[in-house]
Amino acid sequence: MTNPLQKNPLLHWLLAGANGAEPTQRAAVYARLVRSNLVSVIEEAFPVTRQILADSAFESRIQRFLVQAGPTTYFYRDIPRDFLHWVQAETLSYSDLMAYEWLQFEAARHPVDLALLEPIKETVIRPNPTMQIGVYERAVHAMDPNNPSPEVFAQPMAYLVWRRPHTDAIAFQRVGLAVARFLGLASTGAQTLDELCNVLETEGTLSSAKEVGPVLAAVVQELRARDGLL
Amino acid sequence: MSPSVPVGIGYRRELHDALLSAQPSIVDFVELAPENFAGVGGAWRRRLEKIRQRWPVITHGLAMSLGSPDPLNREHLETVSSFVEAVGSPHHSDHLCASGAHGVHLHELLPVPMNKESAQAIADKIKQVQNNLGVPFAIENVSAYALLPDNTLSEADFVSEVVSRADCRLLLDVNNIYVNAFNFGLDPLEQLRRFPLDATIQIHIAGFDQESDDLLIDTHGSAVASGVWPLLEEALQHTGRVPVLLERDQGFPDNFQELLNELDHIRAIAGRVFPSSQAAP
Repeated sequence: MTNPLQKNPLLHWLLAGANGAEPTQRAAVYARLVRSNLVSVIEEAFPVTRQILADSAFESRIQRFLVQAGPTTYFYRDIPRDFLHWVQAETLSYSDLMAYEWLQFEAARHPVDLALLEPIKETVIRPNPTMQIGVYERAVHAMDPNNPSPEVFAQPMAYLVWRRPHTDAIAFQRVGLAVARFLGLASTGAQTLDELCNVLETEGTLSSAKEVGPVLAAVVQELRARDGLL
Repeated sequence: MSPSVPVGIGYRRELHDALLSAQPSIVDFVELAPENFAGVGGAWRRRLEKIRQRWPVITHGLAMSLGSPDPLNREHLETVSSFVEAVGSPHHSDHLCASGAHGVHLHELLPVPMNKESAQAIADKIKQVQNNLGVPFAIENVSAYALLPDNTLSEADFVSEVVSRADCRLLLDVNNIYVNAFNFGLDPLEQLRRFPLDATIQIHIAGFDQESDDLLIDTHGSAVASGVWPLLEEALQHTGRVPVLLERDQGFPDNFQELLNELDHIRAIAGRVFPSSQAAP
């Protein structure tokens, strides 16, 4: 039996990108409302990208997203994530900056309640559970309309982004890929610096745990001071 | 004295500071959308906690898309159900509309074909929702700017069909009735009276924007229009004492007092319909 809710020409016209003859009077009103809703939430999530791209370029991307993919999430707040995935799949410019901007959103609203974390031994390395990690080839944190093409790194760098307890402020730190791996490993279970170094040495990420250990210890100290480790 | 009806306001983060700075007595409850708060922490959770410390919360959903040809989204429904339970909402509601199809969700309240077959298909979905929610569920009548070609029922008759077939409740939006009556050249009071008002569990009232001589858009971005207030008074005479909610989602006034005045206006109308001798204990 045909689903009676399929007989909705306005819905199908909008899903097809609102191209062609309007199926009902004032269908264009709905097309405008749909687009306006998307633009609003996407602009808010990617404020720096929005500033760098011209109005027409940014909105044209959103229109293409609507036609080619469209949001699949039922949560309005997650539309930017769908948009980002589409931008990355299309390999459009500034997808790295957008990914970095989204990391900040993800850290800010991560569901964990940092006030409820159980205390742990000082020797155990515990990354802030809100920490997000992204790897980039250029200094995404420095990008703005005056600096849309910043330095390209000799090697890709990892950005750690997290939410600080009490203030909810977002912090970031740029680290090498080995440190990112170190923190990724630490997030999978309670381990000490020495234990983590040994694992990294065994898997070949570190050439010598003995030599690199003091460097990681300094990173740990710095991250602890800024709530990147809790 | 107990208010003649509970009066509330829709939560928006732009209103957060003003709400918390005001006396708790300015409203009896706050309405918020599970989709905006479920599963998020940080500042969002802090805001929610502060609101919950002061007022009871009633939930109102944005994305169930009951009129979509797609099945209900289980993940969304479970998230909403858990949130409704967690905040202790006495009931939950969502819109009688379609928001997408084929896995794409447009986040707009689109009209659905208004006929008996559609009413049954939507009622079947509402029953699934009711089986998952631990509280009564209501559908909200939405504003419309277009009519679909397969309509065979009026909006009021369609809403009645859905409510009856699903055995659910109605969240009556009097502003939407006014907007639709204007947009389609109908008499708003006459339309209102044809809705299944005895199923009403809550009322919404809001402002609209006039886009042209023959088109109003339900923006929740301005003060309640003078022509909408009589609909609230008429509705309360049929619904009995149900919570009334003021919605303002944009175009926030510089002076919060303007919203407080609208809340007082709701109370004044409710006071006329339910004089103090009839006030709830």
